[in-house]
Amino acid sequence: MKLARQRRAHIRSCFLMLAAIVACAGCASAVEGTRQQVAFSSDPPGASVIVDGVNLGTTPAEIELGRRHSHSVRIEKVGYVPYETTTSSSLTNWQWLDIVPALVFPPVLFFDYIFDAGAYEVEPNEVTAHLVVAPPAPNP
Amino acid sequence: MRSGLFVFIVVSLLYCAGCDPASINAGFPEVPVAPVTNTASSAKIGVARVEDSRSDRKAGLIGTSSEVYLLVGPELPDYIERKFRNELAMRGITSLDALNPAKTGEPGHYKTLVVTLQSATFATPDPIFVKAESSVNIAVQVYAASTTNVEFAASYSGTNQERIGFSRGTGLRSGAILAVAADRAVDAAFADAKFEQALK
Repeated sequence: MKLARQRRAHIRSCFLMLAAIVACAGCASAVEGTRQQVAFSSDPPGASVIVDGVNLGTTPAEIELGRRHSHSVRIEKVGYVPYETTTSSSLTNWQWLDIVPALVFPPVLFFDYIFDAGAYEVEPNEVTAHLVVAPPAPNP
Repeated sequence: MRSGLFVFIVVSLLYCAGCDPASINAGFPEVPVAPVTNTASSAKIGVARVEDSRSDRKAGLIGTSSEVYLLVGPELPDYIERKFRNELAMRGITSLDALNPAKTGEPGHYKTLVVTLQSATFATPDPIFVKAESSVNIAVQVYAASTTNVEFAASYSGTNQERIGFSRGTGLRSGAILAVAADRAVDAAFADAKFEQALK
């Protein structure tokens, strides 16, 4: 009877420890959030900011982008040549904190890699486009 | 044992929090010399130095465990210019040194090609299966002969993705990885029939 109670308590504490480890694995997302603000500007201003094919505003603008993936950015304005670039997603120092629970329970590293978007950072966090003049469009 | 591990982790975190991002310069491969076309009958076009309109030289972070910026300097605009001149030579067009008509305010004797490097990016986003991604975007303008009017303008992009192995060789190969993206951007320009037409 006493042995069964001890075993239940042991299983419960193991489960709680595992839950704490998994929760800690996502700590970067809890603190930093899964999205990051990126500033877009252009010379001249008033250009459309198209991210991953979606028009998200006009320069100057601060737009929130997902941290985990790279994004294709296009800045365009009538009378100018479109500007294109790609933002990348790089790991921050949060990765080291994510490794701590992985030392106890290695599969956590997999959950970090997939789910903890907060451990990533969008690079660059400022996109500046100096637009180049295009010839006027011919009249239809 | 456990306290030792804890101290190691804390010291590592403090070290990482305190270090400033370093940077390395990307080196670019040579462009093979194409046969020079310069006969009286060959078409001629002025080629201005490739402009660099980027706000800074940082192309992105390199490596997966430290903040090291890859810097792309004037070598990439030079590489793109040589690539353009070679492509022109291979099409039987003689490229002559010219100035940007928009900057001098004076028209060229021939049509003038002005290429602007708008963006160059480099990243190693995958920490497990380390791969490098690069992209280059250029704006191409063709100025009409004897005027300062832009006759044709367009932007072209090239991307490249290569697997490079865990934290090895990134610095040495970064320029070559970017050069492939630049090649693809230039190839995209010459694949555009409107651009080819504007050169004539």
